[in-house]
Amino acid sequence: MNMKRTVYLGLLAGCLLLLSCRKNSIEDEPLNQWQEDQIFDVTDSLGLYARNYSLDIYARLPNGYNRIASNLLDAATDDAVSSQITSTIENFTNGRITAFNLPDDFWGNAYTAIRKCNIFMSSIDRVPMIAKDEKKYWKAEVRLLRSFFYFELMKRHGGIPLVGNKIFTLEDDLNIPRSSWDACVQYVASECDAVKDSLRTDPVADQDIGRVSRAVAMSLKARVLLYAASPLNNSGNDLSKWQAAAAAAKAVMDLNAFSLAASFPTVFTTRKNTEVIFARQRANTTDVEKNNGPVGYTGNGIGSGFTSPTQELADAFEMKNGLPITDPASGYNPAKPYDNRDPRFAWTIMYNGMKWLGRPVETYEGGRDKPGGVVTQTRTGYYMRKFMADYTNSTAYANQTHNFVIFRYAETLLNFAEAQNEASGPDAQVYAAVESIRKRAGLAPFTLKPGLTKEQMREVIRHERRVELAFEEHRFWDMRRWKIAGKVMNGMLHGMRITLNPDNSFSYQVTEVNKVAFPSKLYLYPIPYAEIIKNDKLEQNDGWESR
Amino acid sequence: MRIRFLRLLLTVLLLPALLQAQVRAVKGTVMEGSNPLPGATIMEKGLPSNGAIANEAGVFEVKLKGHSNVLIINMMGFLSQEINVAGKSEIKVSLKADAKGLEDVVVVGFGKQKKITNTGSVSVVSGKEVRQSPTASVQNTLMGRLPGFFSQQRGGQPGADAATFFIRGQSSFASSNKPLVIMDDIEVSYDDVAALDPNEIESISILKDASTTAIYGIKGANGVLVVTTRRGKNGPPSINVKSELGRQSWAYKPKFLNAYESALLTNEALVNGKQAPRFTQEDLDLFKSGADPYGHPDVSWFETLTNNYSLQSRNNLDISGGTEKVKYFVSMGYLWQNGFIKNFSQKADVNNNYYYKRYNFRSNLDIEATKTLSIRTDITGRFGEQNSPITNSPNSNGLIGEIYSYNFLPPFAYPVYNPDDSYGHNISMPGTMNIVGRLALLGYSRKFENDLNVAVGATQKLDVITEGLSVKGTIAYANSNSYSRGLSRTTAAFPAYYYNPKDGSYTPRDPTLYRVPGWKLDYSNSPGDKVLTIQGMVNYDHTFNKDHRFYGLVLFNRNTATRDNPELVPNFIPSNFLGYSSRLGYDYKQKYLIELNAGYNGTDRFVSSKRFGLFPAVSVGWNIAEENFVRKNFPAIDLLKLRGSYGLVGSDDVGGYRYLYEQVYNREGSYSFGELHTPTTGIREGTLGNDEVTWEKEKKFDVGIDLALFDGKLSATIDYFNNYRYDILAPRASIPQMIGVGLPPVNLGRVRNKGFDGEITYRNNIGKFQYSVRGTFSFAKNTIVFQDEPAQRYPWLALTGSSIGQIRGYKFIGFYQDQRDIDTSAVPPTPVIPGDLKYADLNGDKVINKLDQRVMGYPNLPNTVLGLTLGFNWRGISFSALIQSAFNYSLRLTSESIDVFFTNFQPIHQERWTPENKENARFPVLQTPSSEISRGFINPSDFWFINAKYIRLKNVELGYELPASWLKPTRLRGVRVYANAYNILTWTNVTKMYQADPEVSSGGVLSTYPNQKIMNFGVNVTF
Repeated sequence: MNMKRTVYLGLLAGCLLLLSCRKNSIEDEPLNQWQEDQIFDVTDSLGLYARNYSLDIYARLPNGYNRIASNLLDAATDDAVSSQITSTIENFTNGRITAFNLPDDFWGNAYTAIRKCNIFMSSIDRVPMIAKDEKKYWKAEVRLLRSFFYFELMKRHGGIPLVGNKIFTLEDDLNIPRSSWDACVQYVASECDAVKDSLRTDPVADQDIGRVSRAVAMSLKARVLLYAASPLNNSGNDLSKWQAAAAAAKAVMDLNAFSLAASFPTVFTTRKNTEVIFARQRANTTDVEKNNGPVGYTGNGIGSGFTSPTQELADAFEMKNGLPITDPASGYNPAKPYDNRDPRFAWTIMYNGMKWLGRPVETYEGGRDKPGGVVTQTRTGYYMRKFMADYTNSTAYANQTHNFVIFRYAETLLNFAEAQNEASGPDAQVYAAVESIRKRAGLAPFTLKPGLTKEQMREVIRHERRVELAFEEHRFWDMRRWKIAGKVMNGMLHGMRITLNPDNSFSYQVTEVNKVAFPSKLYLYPIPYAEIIKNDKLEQNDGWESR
Repeated sequence: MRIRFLRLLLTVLLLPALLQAQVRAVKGTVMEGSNPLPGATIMEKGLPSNGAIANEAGVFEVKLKGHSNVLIINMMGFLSQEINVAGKSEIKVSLKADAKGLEDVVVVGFGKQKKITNTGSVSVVSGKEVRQSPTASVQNTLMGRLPGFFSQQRGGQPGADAATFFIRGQSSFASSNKPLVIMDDIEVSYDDVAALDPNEIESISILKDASTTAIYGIKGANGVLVVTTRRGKNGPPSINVKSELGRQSWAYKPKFLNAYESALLTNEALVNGKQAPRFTQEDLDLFKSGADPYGHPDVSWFETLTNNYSLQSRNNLDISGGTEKVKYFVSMGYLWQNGFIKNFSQKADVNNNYYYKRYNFRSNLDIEATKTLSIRTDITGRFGEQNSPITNSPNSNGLIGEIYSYNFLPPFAYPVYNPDDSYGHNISMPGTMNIVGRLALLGYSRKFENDLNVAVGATQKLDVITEGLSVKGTIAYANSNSYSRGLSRTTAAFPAYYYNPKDGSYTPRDPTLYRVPGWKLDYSNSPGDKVLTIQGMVNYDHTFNKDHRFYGLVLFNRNTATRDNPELVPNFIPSNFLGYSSRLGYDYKQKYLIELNAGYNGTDRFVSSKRFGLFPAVSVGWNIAEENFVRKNFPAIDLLKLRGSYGLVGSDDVGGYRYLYEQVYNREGSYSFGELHTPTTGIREGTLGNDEVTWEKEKKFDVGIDLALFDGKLSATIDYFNNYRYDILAPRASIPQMIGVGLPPVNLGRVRNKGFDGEITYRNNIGKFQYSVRGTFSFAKNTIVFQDEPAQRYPWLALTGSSIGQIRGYKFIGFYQDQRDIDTSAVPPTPVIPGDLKYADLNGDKVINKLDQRVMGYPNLPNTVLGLTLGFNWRGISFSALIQSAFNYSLRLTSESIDVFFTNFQPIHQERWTPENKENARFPVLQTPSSEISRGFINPSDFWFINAKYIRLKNVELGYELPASWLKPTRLRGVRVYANAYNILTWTNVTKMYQADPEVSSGGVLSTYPNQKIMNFGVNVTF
């Protein structure tokens, strides 16, 4: 009996051991995961996953709103300061940028995007797409995006390593030297030319809004050539560079596919309009309002007020009659400084007494939107208004289109005017381009004084760029490429201290709000130290070695 | 088979009826010298299931059934005895104390071993010792008791107060260093240790060297913590009821400056920062006089929000006993810990306080189904309920951070209540809501955790085949579920008013809100963890010719776990472990010992061709004291054993993505084209795969000595170890970002971890006063031998050569004394003013930047731990104390803990640098915005990183066992009253800088619930 039992048990144990050794209960592969051959699928005639792969490349386009520690990049210019006293955006203005500390580090993101573009271009041919043109378009779009990401690096660092179509593996030698600025410009411009004709023509169909089109490629080329012709990169003032830049901008104008939108503020709050050439598509949100709106409202209307536009920017706006406030004939009244200004002033800056969410904004000392104490609030007496929908009489913020505009026709016109003026002086084309913008803005009269010199026209165009493109991440780069940052970013930035008088009138007093400095090495960003030490051949920009 | 099973079932159910008729009874008394000795077990030789336990008078009775006529008498701490009872019906047994510890056993992997023949490195603590501590998580009391055990208790929240623990420090800089946890031979998760009811624990061991961990193979490299639970013993039922009530309070109570002092320092910092002062002289006067409690409030938030103490209670009931056929241990436990928040929510009838409730039960059954087949059935469960308030804190570091926060709760923030009893508000803090109102009204979130584990095992003796052979099979299933439920407001808001004392007006914080919004219920659950373990084992143990003992085992082990592991993405994929282990040992006369252990196992974390590895270890021992010349010449030596082990163990707990060997594409990123926003999810290339990826390996070397002298009065164990972890899996840090894709981990890192640990015990008695002193020490220092890092500009920047977790920081050389000092010294690129921290310019370029940071200090985990346990027994009075100390770790806290204008002003800020206080300054100059170089959060330095140490009276227990004579008239068998305490006294240098418990974790801010001090009273009644 006992023996029998033992045998049974032995058999049982043996079976158990054998059973549990079965192999197939562990799958060899993670079946729930996708591999490359499923993304670029030889059987997918729609190219669905390949398309989704390209979406992630688009998703890496820069989003300019409050992207650096809740601040706009323009808070690092003379147009605005951060309302937060210790925000990292201030590193740009108080000399804290080092190779170890770069709040706007785009290096990794750009090369990640570039790799994705290369993978897409090398693999998309495998996908047997029925709609032939689609594949051609996609390939060209991605190829143009690659150049776009290169240019994002170029405006930050100057010449950077170009990696071509290479998709690196761990075994590859990644000690790649930087290409020269000129070589990079040449590369990007030729890429723009190369893909131009493979892209959709403008205007694109409604369902393709947001895609890279022919005009996007041409606009990128125009911008790159403009930067290349600018004083920072054109120390000898080679006029042929200006000519090339003017021609590239003119080519966009000659497409006749775009025009200035009738209403300035709608450019930023509608997805489809005649002016936007390329924008980063974003969801409908209230984030711009919530981040930058005044702090004194409650409930849904409460803003964080991160951006404090400066008095310098406020003063840059002319009067409605087109005259600067410094002109005695302008009619500017320091006791009522916000009356009769360029209409773009009220579309760009929120000022004391402006009606918002059903009541006047109170940025006077102790007002609801500048209460004092520790809460983050405006430091200048102004909040940013641009990009927001019209909430004058609303009670709450509502979700709103907040695409971030990358190229728009107004910039094209200004690019052309600037390059043409430098190349051949203030001719009629230059006048026409600038005046069309002033006309749309609602200045009356919008015409410029005839007979301006090249230098005077240069100032007019620079001024126009500042007020027209404020907060769109242009001023930050413009003051670099014009090499004026050392001047405009040296000393104090100002705000308005407003006091409520007993008779309910206001007194205005310009006050200093922030001391800024611009070391000349900051015309180009340092390359992050962590990258410098990983690549023997990577040379640091001047002035940043070991800093 | 079915009939046999039914019979088995009947055996279990009808057990009492099946007690067999007596054959011949033998009575006896067990004595130690002239005193009766209760508790010894008596067994009939050859029939281990037949036996009895001596009662309080040392008396027993055994009914003999076999033919051997020999009884074996066993008792912990005494030498075993065999007595021939042929022809006797009444015997007297006199047991001798086992001074040399010959009978002591230690728990090793899948078995037990006599301490004397053990060749591995093992430390043990008994359940009894663990139960002396009133802490809810057992691991909190182990450091200082177990040599080689390192832990830090990072926080004290009810239900989340478990210390992180490591065995012999850390060896991997990239992967988990968490030890494997084994409970009754079954692997359980690291977190399960915290939920153990101490009442269920027989002993806790840690296995530290290669010979004891190799049997766990690919999972053993971080050491193993083995928990053995209590089991029933032969004897009448013993019912044990224990009830405790305790009082918890903050182990460290922070102090903050009052409104007047804070306002003064606020103004000073603003003026130093060239800004206008915030408070006028009138404000200051009002803060000082307190004459305007609504316009100029001065609230001590710590006192306002926290109770002086909160209660906890613990109750246990266990029943154990057994017959020769069935032995049982059944235990139930209930733990309740309350939180520190004052009861504001009384009116709302909702409990918003922190609390934790835990119900444990365990039933361990051992059934002797036949003479050779025994069955074990263990069922254990735990139901936890953890509550925390919805604080809706505007501060990202939660409620504790808020109490410390200057931005949200300065003393002058707002009055708690207005004169009309409405909640106060401050018009210049529009984003904040009254904290008392929030704690009273906003509700709670409550997390429930249910665990149920079942283990069934059977051991069949196969002496028929050859003597000493047995097979054992075990199946264990563990299931745990958690869900959470919360009660919150439909809108997290309530009416609050700004009261203007000048005109008596009330301004609502939110003019559209006139009542507290209604409640809403939130609910979420998780799929639950499931772990299935199957084990089959063949055991052999036989001694030939009295001198040659061979023993060994072969084990098959298979484990499939589906766990909620947030480190693994995606989650809830079953992970499989499969392997064989074996042990082969031999000893000659218990004198010369050798043991081979090996694990051959693998997991599906790795590519299929690289899943299995062999992990062998060898250990040898020499009992010198058993040699004749020692016995003759050194009779005082009871035990002197030299032992050593060397072997290879692995670690597959490498973290990160589940399938490291493959590159996958994830659905991430989203973009939308077209006139309407219709986003489509993108696809993103994941981290590169590495099909060479494999487990980490560790070569462990250990030599040790076990010593006992003077009849066991003095004993010691000392181990030296030298471990070498290699193939550490970490991404290469020298690859430029230009590669454009996430880097896979590569098996490249190497770490050396060396140290020693041990314990020395002295026990003796003066008459009836028995006392003992035990000192433990643990030291473990690791060095990164290799890690892939780019060539740094200067050698002091290299992390290779440092210890795991060390960071770079500046060297503090004083304060900038004046402008001239600034002009002539190296300065950072950012502006500095006199009174800022001055750092050494290591590279001599006159600029202070990251190139001047050197690897400094220590990791955050102590590398030296000392423990001292004192105890005595005298006439029923028992006392024990544990003094625990930790040295050599770095600690830094930031933001709300210390940074000016983040934290509320603390006494240390009054000792700031000022032109008048240059000599004794303990804090840099106050300035806002402060100079970046002086901010510890951005710029680590040894000014902020304290070389931390602490010595604390961790545990004390004083108990009194009522004399048996008092209890005679009652049915009670024993009554013990006791008081114990936890974290009673602490000496630390951490509090010189930071207002926090020394065990909080470094690097971050103070966001965790503070560690608690517990005073506890209990009574234990045995029926």
